[in-house]
Amino acid sequence: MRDIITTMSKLEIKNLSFSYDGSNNVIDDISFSVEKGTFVSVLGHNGSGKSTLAKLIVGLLEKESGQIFFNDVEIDDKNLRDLQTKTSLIFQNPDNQFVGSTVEDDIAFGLENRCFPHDQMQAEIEHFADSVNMLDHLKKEPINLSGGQKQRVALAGALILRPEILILDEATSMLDPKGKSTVRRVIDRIHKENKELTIISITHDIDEALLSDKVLILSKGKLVKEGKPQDILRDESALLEVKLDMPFVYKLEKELKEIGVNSNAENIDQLVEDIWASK
Amino acid sequence: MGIQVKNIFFTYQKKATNATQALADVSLEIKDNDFLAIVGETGSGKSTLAQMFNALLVPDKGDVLVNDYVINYKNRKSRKLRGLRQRVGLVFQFPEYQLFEETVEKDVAFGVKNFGVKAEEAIERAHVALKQVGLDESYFKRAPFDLSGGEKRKVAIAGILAINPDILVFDEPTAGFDPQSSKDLMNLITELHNNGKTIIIITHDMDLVNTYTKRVVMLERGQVTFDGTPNELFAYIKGYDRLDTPSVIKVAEKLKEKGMGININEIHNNNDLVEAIKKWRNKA
Amino acid sequence: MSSMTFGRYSFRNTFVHRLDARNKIFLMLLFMVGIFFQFNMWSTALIMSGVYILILLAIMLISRVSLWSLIKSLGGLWLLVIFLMIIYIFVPTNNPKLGVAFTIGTLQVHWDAFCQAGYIIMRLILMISLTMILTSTTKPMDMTYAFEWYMTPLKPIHFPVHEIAMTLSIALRFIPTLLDETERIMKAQASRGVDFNHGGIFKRFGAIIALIIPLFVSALERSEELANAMIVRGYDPKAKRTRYRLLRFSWRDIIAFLFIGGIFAGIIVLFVFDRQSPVDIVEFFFHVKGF
Repeated sequence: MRDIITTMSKLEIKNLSFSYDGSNNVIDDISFSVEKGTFVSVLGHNGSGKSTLAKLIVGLLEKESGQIFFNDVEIDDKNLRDLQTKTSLIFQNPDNQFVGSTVEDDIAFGLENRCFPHDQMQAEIEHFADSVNMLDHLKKEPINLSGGQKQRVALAGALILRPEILILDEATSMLDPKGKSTVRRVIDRIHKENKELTIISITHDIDEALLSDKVLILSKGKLVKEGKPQDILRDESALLEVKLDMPFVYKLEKELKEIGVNSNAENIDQLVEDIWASK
Repeated sequence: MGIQVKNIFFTYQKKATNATQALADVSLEIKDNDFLAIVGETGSGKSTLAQMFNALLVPDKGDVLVNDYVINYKNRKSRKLRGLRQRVGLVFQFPEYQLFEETVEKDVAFGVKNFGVKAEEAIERAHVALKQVGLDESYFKRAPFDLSGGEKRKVAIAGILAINPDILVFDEPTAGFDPQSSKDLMNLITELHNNGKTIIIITHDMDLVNTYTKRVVMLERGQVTFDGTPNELFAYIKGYDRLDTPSVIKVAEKLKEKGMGININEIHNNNDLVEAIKKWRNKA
Repeated sequence: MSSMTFGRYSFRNTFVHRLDARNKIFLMLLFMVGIFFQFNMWSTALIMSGVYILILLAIMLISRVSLWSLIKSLGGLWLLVIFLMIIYIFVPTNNPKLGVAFTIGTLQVHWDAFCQAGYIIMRLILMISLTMILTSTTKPMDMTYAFEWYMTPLKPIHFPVHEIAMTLSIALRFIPTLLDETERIMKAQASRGVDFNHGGIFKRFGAIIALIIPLFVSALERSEELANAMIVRGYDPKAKRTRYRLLRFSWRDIIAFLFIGGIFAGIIVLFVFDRQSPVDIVEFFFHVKGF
């Protein structure tokens, strides 16, 4: 099932392992590669090691063994900082990643760290605030923002550093439906507008994963499946094994097959057409 | 008996300039052994309402009657209201953050002891509750802080179950859970309901409402705007994006629009929909 | 909490709000020093007190800080007032100028004692008011920047100026979040039968433990996540960084500086006169006999 590693690949992980206590591997001999500009979903149950993987990629945790290549260059202690400047990570909890006292201060935080010239900051902040639909809230304090708004500010604060890889660690899982949909819409737009940006989304929302270019499934620290969502998200028994559900559309299709309705639809509208046509 | 909410009003920060009215003339009756969901946007007042049920908040105007207890502004300082919390168990969102004892069993027994039960019996009740949520003996003596997020939440829920309340209120019980853990938890809640408990779930999750509850109440800007079955709710909220209609209902609605004779009120899960499609095909 | 409203920053676009925080802190300190100059002549002291109060009222008017909320928040000072009165009454006054108010045994209490106590209380209130005007017209974040600026000379001796300023600003940012959290945990524990309002010391102690430990655990978790979020965005406390929010000295600051500076200079001049040849300014200007 493993993709053939091409020279185009941007991020390549080889035999990566990690443990917090030195014996139980939270990440256990994982290898995969991610092409530039793709949208990858990493699926797994609670405690499967998804978040640890994200922290390893951005260098918040130090790997125990294995290699990470970025643009065919192996990452070691010396060039770790270079990789860090090219990756961004959005965390799950909207409150705990809001550093600044107001929206504009928070978006500026990364720029300040990069010694970005002061006189160009304002324009840059406004541009990125606008790209996440937060331009009207620049002066607001975090206490007066909803969870979805805070996550959008976090996105602006990450994108302003022009990363090549953006990792979302369950970025919408603590939001209400309205917050979820606004953040997802913004992420969709970012993906469409930035052809060069690689997005790795860690999630347990399988319906969301269906829309990505590639899916990785993690279970107990191991990479158990990798491939196009259309291929691997139809395998119900494999999904059940890692405590995941099938996407709604696929599940209904499978159940309909038993009463003789055949469909290979990828979305609800297509499925409805197929059901209607089966008359 | 159950819960009777009679024309209650509530405002946060009454004296401040940014005073916000959270509940405006809410009336509601919840019968014993109801399985009820309260839905609404963030800020619609649903969490405020839930906190009235065990007198964490007291209405400015109006009464809440729970069994023999009367919760209103006049007796807001009554010490008797604390006893009410033995009858109504409230599980907050992300309850894993309330753990603090050295061992899991002690933490679960903590609430029981607060209501005057002897230490030994409290520990016994804690063991029963822990087994109920699926944590066996090997967990009893462990430190709660060493557990995973999901296990911590189970311990916190056991901490309320051990008090043995008749009415259980859950605020977003499955938030942040993967599908399997959510299913396990909802099955546990359903089992509690089957054993005679009254269940009130506060949630945004319409799939959960559709699959598990019999009745759903919607709050908008502090007022009850809908009270009925989940399927009636989906018809009511059709076309606005503040709450997600479950996918299975969306498919059913689209088929109906095309002209399929299908009764949306009978669709609660995929199975129901497949059955309806089967019937329709047999007829055709 | 509601009595805390005075002195908490609230956004308004006034002259005082727009002053540079560094300048504001400096001028406040300057004015405070001025207020504490002691004059020998009662009449001078009295007139200067009137001037100070007028200036304070003018600043409050310009900065649109409400007098009523100031008076309300000063309500808690009555204990201090009584304390000062008692001290002044029982410490004998040197060469009293006013008559005897009453006698306790051999102790003669002159009216001077009351005047002196009133004088010191008035100056204390002035200082407290000034501090409150400062905090309610200056963003907490700007205060930390000003603090960092004033502490810059300590950097060469490896005093962690930047680290302290960053810690302060994050602490300020997280106060509302932690207050919310405290309320949430209190309610969660109350649902488990904890009574935070009644019971003996032992019970209360237990209740506090049930609040403090979860609060502490969650604060630690938050701080770890926040540290990660800061590292991911390239924060390094040792590295040089630029700044989005700059404190700027504008024409407003010059006006404010000249105004307060002028008053301070006036106080100094009067003080020197007062020390060298105690002239009663009432007598001096109006040719009438003072006290």
